Amino acid sequence: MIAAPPFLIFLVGAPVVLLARGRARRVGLVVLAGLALALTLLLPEGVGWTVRFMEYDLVLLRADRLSLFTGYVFALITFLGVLYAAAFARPWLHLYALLYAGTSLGAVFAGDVVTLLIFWEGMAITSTLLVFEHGGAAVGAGYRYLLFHVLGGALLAGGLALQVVESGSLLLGPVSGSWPSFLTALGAGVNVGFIPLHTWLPDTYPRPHIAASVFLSVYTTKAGVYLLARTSPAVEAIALMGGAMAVYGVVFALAQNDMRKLLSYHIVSQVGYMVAGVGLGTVEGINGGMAHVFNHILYKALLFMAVGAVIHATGQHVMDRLGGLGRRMPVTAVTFWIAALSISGVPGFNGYVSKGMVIAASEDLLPLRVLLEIASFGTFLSFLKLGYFVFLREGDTPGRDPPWPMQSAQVGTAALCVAIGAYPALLFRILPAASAYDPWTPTHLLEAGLVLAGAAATFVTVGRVVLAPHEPRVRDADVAYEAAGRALVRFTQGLARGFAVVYDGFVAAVSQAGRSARRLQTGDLNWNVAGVALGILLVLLWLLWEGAA
Amino acid sequence: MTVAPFLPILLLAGGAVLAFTVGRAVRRGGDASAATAVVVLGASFVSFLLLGGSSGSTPAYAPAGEVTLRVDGLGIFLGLVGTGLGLAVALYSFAYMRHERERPTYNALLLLLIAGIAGIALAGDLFNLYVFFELMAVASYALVAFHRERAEAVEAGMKYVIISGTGSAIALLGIGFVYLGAGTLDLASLSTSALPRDLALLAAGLLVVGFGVKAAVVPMHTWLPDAHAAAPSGISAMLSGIVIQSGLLAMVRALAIFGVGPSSAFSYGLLLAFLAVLTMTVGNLIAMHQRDIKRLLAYSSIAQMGYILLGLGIGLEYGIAIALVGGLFHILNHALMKGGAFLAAGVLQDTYGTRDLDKLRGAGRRIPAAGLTFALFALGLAGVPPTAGFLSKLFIATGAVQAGGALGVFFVVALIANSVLSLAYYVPALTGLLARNGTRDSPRASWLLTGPVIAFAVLVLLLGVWPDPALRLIEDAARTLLGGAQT
Repeated sequence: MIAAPPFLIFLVGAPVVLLARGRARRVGLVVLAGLALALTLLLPEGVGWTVRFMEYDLVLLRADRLSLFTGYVFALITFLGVLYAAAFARPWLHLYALLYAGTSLGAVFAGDVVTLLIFWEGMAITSTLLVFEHGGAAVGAGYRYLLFHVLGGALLAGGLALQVVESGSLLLGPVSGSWPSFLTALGAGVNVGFIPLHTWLPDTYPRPHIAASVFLSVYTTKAGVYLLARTSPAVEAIALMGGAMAVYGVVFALAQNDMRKLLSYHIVSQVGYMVAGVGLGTVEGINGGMAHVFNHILYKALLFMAVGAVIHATGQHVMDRLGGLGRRMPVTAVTFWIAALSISGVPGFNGYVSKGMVIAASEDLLPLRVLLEIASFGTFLSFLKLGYFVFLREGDTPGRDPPWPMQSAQVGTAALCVAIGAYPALLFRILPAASAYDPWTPTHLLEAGLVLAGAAATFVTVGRVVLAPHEPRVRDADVAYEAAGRALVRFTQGLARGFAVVYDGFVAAVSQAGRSARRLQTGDLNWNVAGVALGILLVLLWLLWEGAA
Repeated sequence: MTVAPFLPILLLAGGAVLAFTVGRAVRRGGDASAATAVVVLGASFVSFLLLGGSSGSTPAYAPAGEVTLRVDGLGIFLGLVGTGLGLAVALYSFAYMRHERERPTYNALLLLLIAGIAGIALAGDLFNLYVFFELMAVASYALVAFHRERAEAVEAGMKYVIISGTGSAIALLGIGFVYLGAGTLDLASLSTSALPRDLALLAAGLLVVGFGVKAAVVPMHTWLPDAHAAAPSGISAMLSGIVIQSGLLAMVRALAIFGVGPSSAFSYGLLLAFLAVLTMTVGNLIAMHQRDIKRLLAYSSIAQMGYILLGLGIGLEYGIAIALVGGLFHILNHALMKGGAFLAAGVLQDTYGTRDLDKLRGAGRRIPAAGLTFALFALGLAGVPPTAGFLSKLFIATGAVQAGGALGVFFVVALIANSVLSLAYYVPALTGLLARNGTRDSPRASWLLTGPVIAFAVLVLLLGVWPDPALRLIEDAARTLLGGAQT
């Protein structure tokens, strides 16, 4: 059984495949992703591929239950995402997406801190390139994205470096000590979207190509969750932050008009669940959080695929100009609803299982529990809004189902959501730890049922009016960042002006010294000879003084 | 083969007579005398090489028992640089002076000038040192005022005569006090005998000032700008390149009798170092506002003498070899760079008839052989790697660091600050010369004019990356100065 690091397949294979053209390239892409998926599924547990670097050992492939679990879902969604993206003839998008997937897998399977950081930065760069690829408004957003992620990378590097110094080992594992934990959590927190470090997510994800959004929705945030699970800072504050994220994301999502922006805020919200689970630090919490990673990747990618199909067909990004697409795009509509029900936690779909796990794990921390339930309520409400205004209501927006690669990707992902929802054992078998959770207990069913019913009732009654799509008037934390940025620019301009004054003053003084020195050359021979006499005087004075000393 | 120490001097002095007579006797006498000068200088360069080969011992020339000439590393170094630069100038002057009327006189005087330098190099006692020093000086007076139909040259020559004469008189007085105190003028025996302290201090002071006038040490420098600007360009190159340095080396030879390094009787080395800092600063400051290209180079020479003097002073005071090596290496490099710069400026002056930098705007671009080489020389003088100028300044700075303490830091800072300060006038001069100008003419300059300039430029770069052959010679010279007092 070959233990080939999955990232290698992508990093090596991507440029190779892209040398092909046209249909051959698209087929090659899908084959490559399939190959990577197969190899990842067949990876044996254990440590492979260590490389000697200075006096340390770098571990490029550490496959334990946690990393294998994350690796499986990453490889899986890469396959489906590549299938979706193969419908478009955009070679650079394909290249960056594959590299992005490759570096993410590299980060997940990294066994030591150095390898992790290298792949972490690689993820940031490749995802930025993926955003830039689209051009236009995406470039500015990509720049802000890069700034955030470089900051996160630096914080993470700082925390992990402190950890290495204290523990003496490069191996990636639980982080102890207040500063290492704080910095590591913060570094991962940028990726994950801790409030208020989350603004890049809704800023960036809606802007690039629709296929790019599918990839973007997957790796960065979940790699962050994986890292939190791996370094397990088990701090209550992190769990509560997860709860805050869950509610914050949902509140802003409800106000959105742009479909992908709405989905982006939901990423923040759903990742909040994951962070809550992992932050609790208990076995059930981590299990629940990671299970939610798995499911969320599937249904969120599907949501972006479906919404992408709508944008592709209609050319519209915003809900207030859409309607009635349910009949004209049946496959998309069905897959959308499957994903919507999954994210909302409707029993029978995959989201219900993992959401329930996280909520169950939060039993002991009541404030967290409440926040998560509120978020569930808002989530269903928000997706009823999205589904209704785009697909269900009367409207005459023209559209039809997308090309078959995109459709098959959507259907495949939807099938997985349904399969896991109906047979959760499929998921439980690969979870990092054995789980004793039973999703079908009456308590759990009742809980979910109440929340969902409440949301549905709200929508059907007042929701359709109150939540009618329009351009949102709320501003996110971006406002603060913009103001800080402007202040920084003004400050540096002032600093540059200050320096110029100092330097100019100095130069003028020296130049004046030069002018004054010229007066030594009087041109008068008498003064010149007097200079010689002065020389004698000075020299003799020196020597006599020196001689006397 | 053993060569008599007087050979170079004989060649040069005899050559002067020969060049003059040939020039007056033959048709196309000007060319004939110039050719004679070239041949004689070539021969004397070779004779110094031969002398250098045989200086394992220190052969001395002692007619009637009294040593008059002595060959050592320092002498070989000075002789080679002097004759080498002279050879290039003679070739250059072949073309530069072609329209002049009194070329035989010019070439004879040039040979006498270099004969004087050779004598300073080989002098074994203070008397001969002074005599050859005067020979060099008198020849240079006439050469500075060579264009005696121009008021500028005559004024420069007059000033030079009077101030330099004053200096020579003071130096002679100093030598007199040495004789009074020691009873001998032989350099070798003077370095082992000790003078009464007060007399030594007085003599040293007079020697410093007397030779310092010729070496253009501030505040005795005032003659230099006029002289170097008004002289024919080849002579400016000689003056800046080796004449003032000869004055400096004559000073150093004379002062060495008071001991070198930690065993010196009193800190004259430190005096030289402080005078050096004064010299380099004043030179750079006044240079900043010059608009005449040759006057700018002249002030730059004052500053560069400051660097050389710093190296020599620190070396003599603390016995630090690398400082001495740096100072001597800078003499060589400066001869190449400043000599080359004056020759290049001469090409521009010859072609465009002006020395005004504002009028010469873009001239360097139109005659690349002059402009680009001038740029290289200027950067080398400012101490920019990979030119040789950078290396010699680096050695001097290293020597200052080795001197240690607050003084060492002060000297290093002064050296670096002055190097940066010098850019303030080199760079504007360069950008002016190399500016894009409207006119398209590219005048041709004779290869005899541009050849030496380009050869110097190549040497500057070569020595910057591969200084070893020169350094071997220079280390020899430094050892002679240090005697037994090296650290």
